[in-house]
Amino acid sequence: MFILPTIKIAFRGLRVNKMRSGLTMLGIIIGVAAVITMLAVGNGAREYLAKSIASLGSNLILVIPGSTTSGGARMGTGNTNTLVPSDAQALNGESAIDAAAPIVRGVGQVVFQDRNWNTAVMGTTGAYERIRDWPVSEGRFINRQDVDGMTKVCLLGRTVVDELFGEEDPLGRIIRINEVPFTVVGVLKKKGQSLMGQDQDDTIITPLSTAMSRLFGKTSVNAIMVKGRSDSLMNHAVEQVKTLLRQRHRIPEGGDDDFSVMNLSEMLAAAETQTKIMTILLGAVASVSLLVGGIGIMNIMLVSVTERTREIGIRMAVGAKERDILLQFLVEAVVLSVTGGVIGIIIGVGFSTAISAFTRFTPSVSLFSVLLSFAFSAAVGIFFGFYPARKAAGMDPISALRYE
Amino acid sequence: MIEARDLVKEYVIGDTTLRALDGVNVRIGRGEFAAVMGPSGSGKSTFMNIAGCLDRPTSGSYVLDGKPVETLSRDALADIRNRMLGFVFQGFNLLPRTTALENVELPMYYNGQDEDMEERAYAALKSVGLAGRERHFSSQLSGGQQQRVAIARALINNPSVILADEPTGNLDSKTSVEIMDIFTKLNAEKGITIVLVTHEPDIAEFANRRIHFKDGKIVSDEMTKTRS
Ligand SMILES: Nc1ncnc2c1ncn2[C@@H]1O[C@H](COP(=O)(O)OP(=O)(O)OP(=O)(O)O)[C@@H](O)[C@H]1O
Ligand SMILES: [Mg+2]
Repeated sequence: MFILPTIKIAFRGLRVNKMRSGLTMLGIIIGVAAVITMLAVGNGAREYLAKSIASLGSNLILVIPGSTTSGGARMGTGNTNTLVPSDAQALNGESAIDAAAPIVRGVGQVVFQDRNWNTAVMGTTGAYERIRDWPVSEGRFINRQDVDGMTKVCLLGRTVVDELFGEEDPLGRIIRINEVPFTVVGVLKKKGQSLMGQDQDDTIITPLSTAMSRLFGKTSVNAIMVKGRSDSLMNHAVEQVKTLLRQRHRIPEGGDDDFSVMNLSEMLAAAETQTKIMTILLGAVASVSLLVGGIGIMNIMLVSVTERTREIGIRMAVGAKERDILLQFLVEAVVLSVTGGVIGIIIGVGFSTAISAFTRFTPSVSLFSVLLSFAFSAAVGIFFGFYPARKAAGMDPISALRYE
Repeated sequence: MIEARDLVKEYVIGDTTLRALDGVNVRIGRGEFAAVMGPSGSGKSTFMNIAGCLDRPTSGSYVLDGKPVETLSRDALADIRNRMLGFVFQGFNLLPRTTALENVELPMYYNGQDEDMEERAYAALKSVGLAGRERHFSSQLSGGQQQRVAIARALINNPSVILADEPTGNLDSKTSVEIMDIFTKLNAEKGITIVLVTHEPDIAEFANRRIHFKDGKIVSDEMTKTRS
């Protein structure tokens, strides 16, 4: 009945006191914008992590040479030559382990006809496809015969294909990697960026043996990637890796490991939890400013009630009941806070979009956070507007009319 | 219509008690036009506020239109003010930053009748001679015009009583007469009971009854004209 004109009157009041209304709303605007931005950043980070985890493959364990656990002194990892291809082969037989692939890495100058490109070259076995869940889009993956026979075949990542071949079909073509000719037998499916922001498609995969002897002249591997049989068997798998490698490397009881085992899936899950906690914390900090904004509204509403004592008296004289006056001031407080909330949402969305220019991930504003902010700012208006409105409604008509 | 018995109103200021009304007994019948007079501080406004259900007496009883009102709740009193009473004050008491039309509509907001509010407000403004000024803000109107808006507002819910506390106190004599003509017409044509406080004898001339206050008491009460 009387709500609509009240809202109209409330908006007019806001326009009359533009400066004051603006400053009052500022607290809510900042609060809501901060909440929206923080939740968007947190959400974006989480989505990005989740995508990265999916692109890495599930139930992954990474084994690298060198110890990370010897009293904190020897921290250099990956520089020792303790991991060999047969370690990976042996790991393949363990019960909690689904597959294990040895990996050597290096850089290669790749030439096809008059085009050349520098890229990461990786030597591995057929198990890698299954471990990383990274199938080919054309051709085939490397297989046992390739590794056993040290064939000079390779798989290209999407980026390498684009750089060297453009629109041409690379299958069956011969490219030179560090002067050694290789036949292209397959193209890897597009994978996108890694967690560290590297282009995972800027890579070439060759058989392990070929890479070790022909390209890099190595006898040890840079890492062994292991896939556990299932989520629940991961701890078991890590134990089996440790036990078997210690045995194979003849490390005496009490001696330090000469390798390090990382449960990548667990680390990523931990990172995801951390991001979640961060999001909640940031959101909580941001909502404190919403609360401060609410106090600002209460303050200004108290001033407004005092200033308009006479108006309240007039309204009571012509028949306004307590609830009419209460409603009027409550509506004004809510109009203030909700207007601030809407402006805050707009600024927050703008801010989140602007932030994506500086981050690897895209902050994503969820409908939930918009609704939450809206509801929260309305609640702030009601909560902090109630006391001043109550005060107005409880005035004595005659004293209010006489108020100077 | 208005019936006061032994009305007492006391104000306590610090440790002294001030008797603004000291046993007022009066009956004002339906359709009367009464002028309340008396020196400053004699309790006229205090009486009007109680008569208008804006204030409550310390003791005594007040019966409005046959109903005792001392026991009513705040909201019930608000309802009586809205439906039965109209106020006109010396200081006009219009809402600031609000148009004449909206000021007149105000009492209608508070009784839930939102049908043809605007037409009724237009008609009320026209009846007090303010046609064409509906969209003016209070601050853009002269004192006389503001008082006409206040009268239109008092009339809008068809009250049975209009209480006017020095309605011409801030106006020049020519405008005062115009305002008084409106009151006279309302009284004669619509039979609205009018109680009007004034210091000026020529204004009191318009009424047909004169009630004199002194020190919180009624000291004289005379009919000046026979009712037409
Ligand atoms: N709210 C109040 N608190 C204390 N004293 C009051 C209050 N209102 C009125 N009074 C006192 O009550 C007495 C009567 O006041 P009232 O306003 O009724 O006088 P009045 O007859 O209307 O005078 P005037 O002609 O000057 O308007 C005065 O002495 C005044 O000081
Ligand atoms: Mg007075």
